[in-house]
Amino acid sequence: MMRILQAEIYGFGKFTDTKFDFEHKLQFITGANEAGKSTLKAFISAILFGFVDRRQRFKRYEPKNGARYGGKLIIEQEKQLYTLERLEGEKGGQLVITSLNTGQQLPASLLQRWLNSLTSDLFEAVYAVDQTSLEQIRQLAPEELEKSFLTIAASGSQQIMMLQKKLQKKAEQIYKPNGRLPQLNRLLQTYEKQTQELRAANRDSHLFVEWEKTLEKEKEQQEAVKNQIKILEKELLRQRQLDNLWPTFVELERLRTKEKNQQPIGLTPQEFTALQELQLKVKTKQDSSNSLTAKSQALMQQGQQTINLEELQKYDAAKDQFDNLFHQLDVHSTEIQLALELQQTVNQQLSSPQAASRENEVLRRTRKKVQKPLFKQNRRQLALLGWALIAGSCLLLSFFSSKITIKLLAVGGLLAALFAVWQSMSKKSGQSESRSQNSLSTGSAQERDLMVQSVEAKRLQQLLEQLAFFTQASAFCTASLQLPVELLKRLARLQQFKTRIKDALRERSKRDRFLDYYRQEHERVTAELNALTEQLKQQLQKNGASSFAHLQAQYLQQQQNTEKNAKLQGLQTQLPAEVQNELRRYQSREEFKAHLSKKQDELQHQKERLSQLTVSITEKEVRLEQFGKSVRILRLKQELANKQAQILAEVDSWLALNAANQCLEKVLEIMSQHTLPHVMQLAQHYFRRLTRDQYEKIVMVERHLQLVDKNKTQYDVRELSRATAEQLYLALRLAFIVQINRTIKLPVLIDDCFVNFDEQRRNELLALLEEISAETQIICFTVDISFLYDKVDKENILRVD
Amino acid sequence: MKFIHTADLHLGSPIEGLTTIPEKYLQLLHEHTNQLFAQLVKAALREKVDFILIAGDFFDNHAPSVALQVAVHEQFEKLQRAGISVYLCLGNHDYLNLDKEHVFFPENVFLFPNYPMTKHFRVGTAEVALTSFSYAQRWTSGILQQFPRKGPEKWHLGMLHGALKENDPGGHYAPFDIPELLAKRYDYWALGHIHKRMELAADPPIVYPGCLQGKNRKESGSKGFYVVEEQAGKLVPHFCPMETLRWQTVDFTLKKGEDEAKIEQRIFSELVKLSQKNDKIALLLITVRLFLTHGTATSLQEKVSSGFLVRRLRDLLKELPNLYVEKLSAQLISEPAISLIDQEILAQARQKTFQSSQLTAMAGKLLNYPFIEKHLLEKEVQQEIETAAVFDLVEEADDDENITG
Repeated sequence: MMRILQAEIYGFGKFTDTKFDFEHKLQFITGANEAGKSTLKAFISAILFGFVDRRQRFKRYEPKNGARYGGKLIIEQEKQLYTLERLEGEKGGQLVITSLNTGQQLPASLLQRWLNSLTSDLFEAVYAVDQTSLEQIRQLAPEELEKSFLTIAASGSQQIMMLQKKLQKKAEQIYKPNGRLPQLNRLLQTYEKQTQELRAANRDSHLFVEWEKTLEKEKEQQEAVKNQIKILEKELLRQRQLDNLWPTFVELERLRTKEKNQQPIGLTPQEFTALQELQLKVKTKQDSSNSLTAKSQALMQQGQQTINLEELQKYDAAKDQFDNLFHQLDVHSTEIQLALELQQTVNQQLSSPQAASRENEVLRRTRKKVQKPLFKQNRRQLALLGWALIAGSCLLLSFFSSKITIKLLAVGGLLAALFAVWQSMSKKSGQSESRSQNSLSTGSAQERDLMVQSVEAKRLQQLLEQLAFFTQASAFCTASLQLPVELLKRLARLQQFKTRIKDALRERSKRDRFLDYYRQEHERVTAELNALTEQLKQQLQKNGASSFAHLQAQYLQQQQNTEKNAKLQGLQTQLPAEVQNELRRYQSREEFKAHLSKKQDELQHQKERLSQLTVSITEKEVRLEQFGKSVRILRLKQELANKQAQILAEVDSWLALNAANQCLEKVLEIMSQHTLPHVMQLAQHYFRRLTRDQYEKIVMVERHLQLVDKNKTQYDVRELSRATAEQLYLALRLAFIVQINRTIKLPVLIDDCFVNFDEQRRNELLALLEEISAETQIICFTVDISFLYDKVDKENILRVD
Repeated sequence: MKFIHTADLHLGSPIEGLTTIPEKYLQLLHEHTNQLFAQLVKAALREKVDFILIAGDFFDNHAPSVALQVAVHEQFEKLQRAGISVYLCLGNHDYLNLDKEHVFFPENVFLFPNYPMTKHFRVGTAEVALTSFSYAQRWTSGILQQFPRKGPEKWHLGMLHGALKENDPGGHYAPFDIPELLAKRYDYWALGHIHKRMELAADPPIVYPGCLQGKNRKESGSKGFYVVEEQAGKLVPHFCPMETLRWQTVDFTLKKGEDEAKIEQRIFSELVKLSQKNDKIALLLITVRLFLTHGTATSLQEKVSSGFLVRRLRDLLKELPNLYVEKLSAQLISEPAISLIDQEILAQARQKTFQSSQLTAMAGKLLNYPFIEKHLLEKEVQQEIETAAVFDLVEEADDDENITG
């Protein structure tokens, strides 16, 4: 058993450096309220079990005046004295145990052993009996009272029961089997609702099947109507086409009636074209021929109109003679010319004597000159000859001579000769030119004239003699041409005639050539023309036409027919037989149109029907799609699953709390198994004492407390008066303490239980406490000690101020 | 020859266990079912497989919603256009009595009848036989004896939705054992029913492909389908993971001297890394388990149990595009002591309290909800409740101390 002998407080609560001596086993500590009784109690607890940790400031009782926190207790344990000093530090403070006997410091674990793993809570719960716990009794509901007692009996305090109560309360917040408000209950309600919703949704999905069936039907109808519409539209289209063809049809009928009248001639276009070409050719040829003829005629007329026709005729009459004559004239043209000129000159000379003389002079000179030149000419010729001889001889010399010098001389001579020849040749030509010039120019004419005069006349004479034959020659035409007698004149006239004739002949021959040509051509063309005409005639005959025009007409007719037929054919292709038949069915266009409009009405009707059906189908489809697409059911299921999870979490929490409660119940059971009988025994004893034998027994009947009074009447706990219940409480508490003190000996701290007791009860309690204190130190805190005065030694009372 | 083997799609079933989920992931969650199958079809088209085997539990229940049927039909049509066939058998969830019910699938989808039947078809020049059957009701007894032995065809495949005899003591799910399967001498066994993928044998391959998508936190890790290809005369399966939703459990043990801020930081950075590493995955649902030693982490415990820590983590991680911490739980490594109560007595009391029957008894009317009943029967759940109860006790006891005295 542990006994606290002294408490030395360094700093704890309001106490600083204060000592308390607890010498007696039943120690009273008194003082006014706030005197520090609780502080002292806490101090004892603190030294024994350690300082409360800093988090619970209010229970630490830290000194406010800066004193050192802590203190010591001097205890007696198994007849040994020890100091238990505890100072501020970790883990509840630093404990130092010193043996007072030996002064030895002992390990702190020693205390643990003494305390036998008792905790401060337990100590507080069991070893501290105070007003508060007494109060709790009062506050208990009658039903709880018994439990409370049993708890005390089993565990020494109500703590466990209180725990149970709290756990219960928490549990009830979560769930009450018949409740509505607790969390779990509400969750379950929601769950029910959601389950219903899901069921409904599933049911709805069966509607789906119904709708689908209706939809099927409607869709079929829709198809049928669509087909109808198609057919109708096709028909309408056809009717409209027919409508368009109506004019064509009318045309067709018209043509058909005319068709029978014509007969074709069976001439192909190629054939006709050929004939046409032929005809053209004929015409061309004809034209050609005609033009040739015209040209010939024109030419011939031209020939007729030519001048000199007479003369030509004359010529033609004596052509040969004239030709001869003309030839001679040509031969002697120069002489004639000269003669004429001379004649002129002579005539001039004769006309003027000076002139004549001069002319004679000129004539003479001219003659001389002519002679001279002639002479000169002869002389020159001789010179030439001479030079030639020299040249020749030089040449011979050069060839045949042996001496070089002679050769050289010969060559030189040759060269000179050649040079002279060349010179003279050039003079000659020049001279002849100049001679003619001279003869023509009148500048030096006078001289000439004079020279020529005599010469000219001579010359003339000469010439005239030369040309005398012409008279004869032209005798044949003297009459016809009326030629003058004089020779020169005659010659002149003849020359003129000749020239004219010659021109005319030229013209004539040209014309004749053309005429010939035309004639030839004409012949040719005519031949061709005939051939072609023959050909054409044959063709025409073959085709039974009298003329080309006839044929053409026939042909055109044929073409027209062919066109018409083609048109007819075309129309026929546009209007195949069935179409024609169809159209024939209607008397008039109006009738046809009436039929058409009827069909249109029908179509309209069907279209309306279709749109109605489509609307209905679309509606359904949308709804069904919503069904099909909707994740509603899945979502509901998931929400439901989540709700289940929440529910299960709450169920687990609730069960845990319940289980904890149950666990404590079991703890009590077990505890009561260990301790209950003994506790009950003691409690019975104490209770009897406290009630002054009013109640004799405490009985356990199937876990129910029964009190038996001296009259053997059994009372239920609930039937006890308040005061008696308190007494029972104390009895049980003390009984348990005493019981437990058999293992763990610690002082009991009683805090003012006497307050509400009457004198009697107080005395009884006191007596009991005295009895108990024999074995267990009881430290009793009380305010009022008046009742103690005569009962207890003064020494037992410690004042705290 | 190349084909896909998948099973247990459970199309139509929701993701379970999410008490809260941010707005931005809601859409994903609601549409994940449709997305799932669409992704599988996409993969089939990409891989240019010849056909797909779906070994049961294609739908989550035997009355799938119309919307789902429509969506599935569309996907089947896509496959049809690409010339890919689908061979489907019904399992214990989507069972149907095919005498009474009619199912309308496109032509490329073959549904096995309620009795074992062998379907013959060609792939290229090879003759292939496929034997399977569909569940007519929830339970089916052993049916393997009706499967024929392999004949002359080049490949004989077997598709079976069921459980190993040793795992199915009640004999509800067409139970079989491996020797039985091997005796048929098939080239490949496409199994279904077990959601965790496993290869029971390699030659011939006997494969549970696992489910395509984890539905709750117990089905964590990567899920997907198998692509089976002919290689050197044998059929070789290889696993292709899906990249939709994935559940992942991540454990953290509180280290010595690690305070709240540090562990928070550690969890944060770890999860960021996880998100980045799995950037192709649409959503990672992370279950964080903290292993705490008592005494070092009282306040941390409180933060966990009050939900403070998980909210804080979610707030820190909200920028991540594909990660959500769906749950944070703490497990105590060492036992807490309640000052009021003797350790031993407490232990005894605990033992007595946390027997499964006790828990279910406590539940009372709540058991009327099948999902609650199912939940409470799970061992893990019971353990969690126990841990929570102890937490509560400790909390209350501490709390008590603060008020009284």
